[in-house]
Amino acid sequence: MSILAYGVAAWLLLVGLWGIVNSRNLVHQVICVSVVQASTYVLLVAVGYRSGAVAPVFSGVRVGTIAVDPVVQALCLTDVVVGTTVTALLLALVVQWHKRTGSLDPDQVDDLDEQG
Amino acid sequence: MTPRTRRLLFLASAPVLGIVVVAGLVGLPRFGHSTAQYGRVLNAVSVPERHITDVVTAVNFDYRGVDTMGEEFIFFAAVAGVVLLLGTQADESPGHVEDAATGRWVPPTSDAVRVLGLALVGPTVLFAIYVIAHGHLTPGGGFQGGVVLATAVLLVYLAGEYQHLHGLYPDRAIEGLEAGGAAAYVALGIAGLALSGSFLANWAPLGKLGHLNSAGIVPILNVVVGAEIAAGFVLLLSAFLHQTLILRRHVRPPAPVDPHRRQP
Amino acid sequence: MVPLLVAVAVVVLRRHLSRRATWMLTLATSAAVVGLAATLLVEVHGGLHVYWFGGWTPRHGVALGVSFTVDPFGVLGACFAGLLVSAVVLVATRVEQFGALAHALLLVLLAAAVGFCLTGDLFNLFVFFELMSVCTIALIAVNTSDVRSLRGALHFAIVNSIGAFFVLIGIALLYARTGALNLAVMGQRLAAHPADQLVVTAFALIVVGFLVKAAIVPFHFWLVDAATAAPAPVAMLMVGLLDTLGLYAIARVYWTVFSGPLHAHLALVQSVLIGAGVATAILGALLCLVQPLATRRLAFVSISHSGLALIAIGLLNPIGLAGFGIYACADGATKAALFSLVRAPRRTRGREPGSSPGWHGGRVGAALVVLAAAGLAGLPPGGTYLAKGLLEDGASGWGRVLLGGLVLVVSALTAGAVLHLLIGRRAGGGTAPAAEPAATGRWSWPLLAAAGLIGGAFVLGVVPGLGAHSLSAATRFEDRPVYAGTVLGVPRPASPTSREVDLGVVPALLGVAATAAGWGLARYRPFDSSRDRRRPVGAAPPVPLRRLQQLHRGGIGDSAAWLTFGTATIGAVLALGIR
Repeated sequence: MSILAYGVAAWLLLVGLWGIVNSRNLVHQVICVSVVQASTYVLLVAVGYRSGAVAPVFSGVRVGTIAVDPVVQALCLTDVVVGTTVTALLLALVVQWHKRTGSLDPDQVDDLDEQG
Repeated sequence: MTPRTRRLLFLASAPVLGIVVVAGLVGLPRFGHSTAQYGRVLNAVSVPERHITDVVTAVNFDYRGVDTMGEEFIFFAAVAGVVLLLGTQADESPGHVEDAATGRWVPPTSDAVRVLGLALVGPTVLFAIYVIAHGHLTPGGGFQGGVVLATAVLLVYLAGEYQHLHGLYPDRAIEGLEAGGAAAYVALGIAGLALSGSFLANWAPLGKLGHLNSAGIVPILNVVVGAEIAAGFVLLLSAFLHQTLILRRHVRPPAPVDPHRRQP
Repeated sequence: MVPLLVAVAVVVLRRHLSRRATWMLTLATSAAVVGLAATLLVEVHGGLHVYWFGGWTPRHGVALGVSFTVDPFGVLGACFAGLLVSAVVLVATRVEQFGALAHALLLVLLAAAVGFCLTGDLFNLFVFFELMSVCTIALIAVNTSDVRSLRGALHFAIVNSIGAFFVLIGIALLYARTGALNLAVMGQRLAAHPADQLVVTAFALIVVGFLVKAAIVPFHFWLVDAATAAPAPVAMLMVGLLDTLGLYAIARVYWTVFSGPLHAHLALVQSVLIGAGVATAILGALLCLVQPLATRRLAFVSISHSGLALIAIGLLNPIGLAGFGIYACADGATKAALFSLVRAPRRTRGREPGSSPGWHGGRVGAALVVLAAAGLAGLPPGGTYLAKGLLEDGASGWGRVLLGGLVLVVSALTAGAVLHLLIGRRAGGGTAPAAEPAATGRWSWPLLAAAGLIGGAFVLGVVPGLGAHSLSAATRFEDRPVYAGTVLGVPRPASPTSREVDLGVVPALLGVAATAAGWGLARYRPFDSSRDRRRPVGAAPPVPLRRLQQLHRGGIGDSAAWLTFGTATIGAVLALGIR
């Protein structure tokens, strides 16, 4: 159990990268970026966990009770906002892309490239 | 590179990367035995010193308020970016959106969705206000509440029809609200500089622990952020929804009425 | 005073939603940032200033809040960012898609860059890093009807996001180990123990994240795509500012956080960084020769020079770092100016995009391009000459000779490639120069900006005592105990540094030689672009180069695969070496 969370983080990182490398669809690729990011969420929250501790919210809980680390949760919150916004931007780009080319294949663009 | 060589390159290097990362993770404290001093100290001091019971909010808005300012501007920049990217281009004709999509081939919103959507709007708004206002006491805050608030607007869109509501949509007001939210955060920070001697320092009374009006400027910051996030999400939603209307018009010409499309 | 710096930039940008005529306001703001940064530079000259946001001064060695830790190098970066953004605003007057929103984004980007330079907190660094990325993504694709710029933006966004996540994983690892996010505190805690695998992995991931931003081989593919397709002002930002800041972050993080535990493995870290730098410099210099497309050629020139800058950092000594500081400013300004001068390729049917690499501004523009090429080559008294002299000074023994040779060759090749843009066209002669769209005023705003940037780069070389100042600033930059002491409120006296910078004649000769070689290269065009068939001599690049060229035609997937490969390599080398 103890290493599971860390393992999940590493796994999400690799599997997300695999998805980005192999993607044939831009929307899929963008979602894969989110998968890689999910690995950072898992890692951040796992790093701050303490067995048997409460959430770091002391309403109704005596101050001094052992609580999990609030800092990583705050970092994670920031990270989530970053993720959402980047995804929104990427999807906006994809929408425009689709409108211009009629395709969602990330590799199809190669022919647009100038000839070396 | 062909997809094959690319895959080979990846497959050759990914295990190595995996080993490096896992070897690093092994050095972490055992799961459930976090010893981070920073977190422990903050857990101990934020209730007595700041009158904030939700320590995560204390970290975000008090101790590390600058991070949140940066975060807010990330959001702001992204919204501006999306609006910029999905703005109407020269080769598209705006303005006739309502005319072109009169719902002939979009399945009409069912009564169930209408009723449920409208019924949920009130509670959603209420819940959002609660989440924003109690950010310093219980889990929640401006970011979370703002998103919930934007959901209420989405519900209105769902219950009605976007192309009809689009005409009523107070474009400038929403933009102003979003920009105002971001600016107000900085203004509050400068107020801290002026009144307490450093940027984003607290200058409001801390109030009584556990009360709604406690924790100094943190609730104010939460409201400000909530306004920005809600307005920003509405802008995002409407930019994307607007785009679907343009897309439909360009890519799929209005198809003849097809009764089979009307199934839910 | 520090937050004001940010605040001014940030507050003013709100007003920008009131459309039109905003560029004056933007310009005023960025100029104000330059002014503030310059004042700050004078003020911090004596040492380190620490500013705690919210008044959260550290208690018992625990940093509660976020600090801006201001040292001369950081302020220099902020000042440079302000200058560059001012120039970008001027150049942007030429791009019609640059509306109010784009200007607002530009200002947010500037604020982020300033914060990035000044911050003393690792997570805060990440936040500003992301903020810069988000602004850049939108700016690249400002012209949404251009498919290639959409592709560039997607490529930039995906690859840089992965890089940012690597940084974040590194931060999480370090936080778990040290229980802190402040650079100084982290460095202090890490220094207590020898390096183990966790530290190595964190270092590798963080370094890779920033190397991605700096477009170092093999993480450079995005820049080729993005800088080629982006509107000129945005390309200026990417090659002038973003890659410089990426490298700056590596130096900052290494010296404040990792220098304790990794000091025992100095040679290994050196060789990894310098190795990557050398590979980048050579690859960029070779490939820029065979690019028919002007902006794409400049992208490779820029990559090549980022490699040189990385070598300067990789020397891991004060002299190298001092060289980096000057080099980053002078070279960054020159590269940015080139991007503003060279006309973006028009994809007009019937004419090959590469056949008429025009530039803006007629004769004046052409003269500026020549000057810029001389700057790239390191012709004295340019700022790059001073920097390269320092860079070579930083190495010792055989390394010094090799490095001198490398700098010579790379400078000559890149300068030649740039000059060839002019000469190649004149020799071709056949295609009539495309009509100047802005032919009315010889001295248009963009031209003025380019002239300012190039001129500034040359002036840097003749400022008296700049080398010595930079050296003493670099020595302080690398002094981790003093840094930590000042941040935590236990100031320690800095070790006095007074060393005269005496470069001797060799760098000057090298600079002249590189310029001359570049000129010769441009005239004789040993590798001409394969498209230009007017001269049969060496019409096609040799096969290995063509192979390399081929590699750069891949998409985002390729880039991600190379990213994985590069990270795995750097991680594995460090891990095996330190074990």
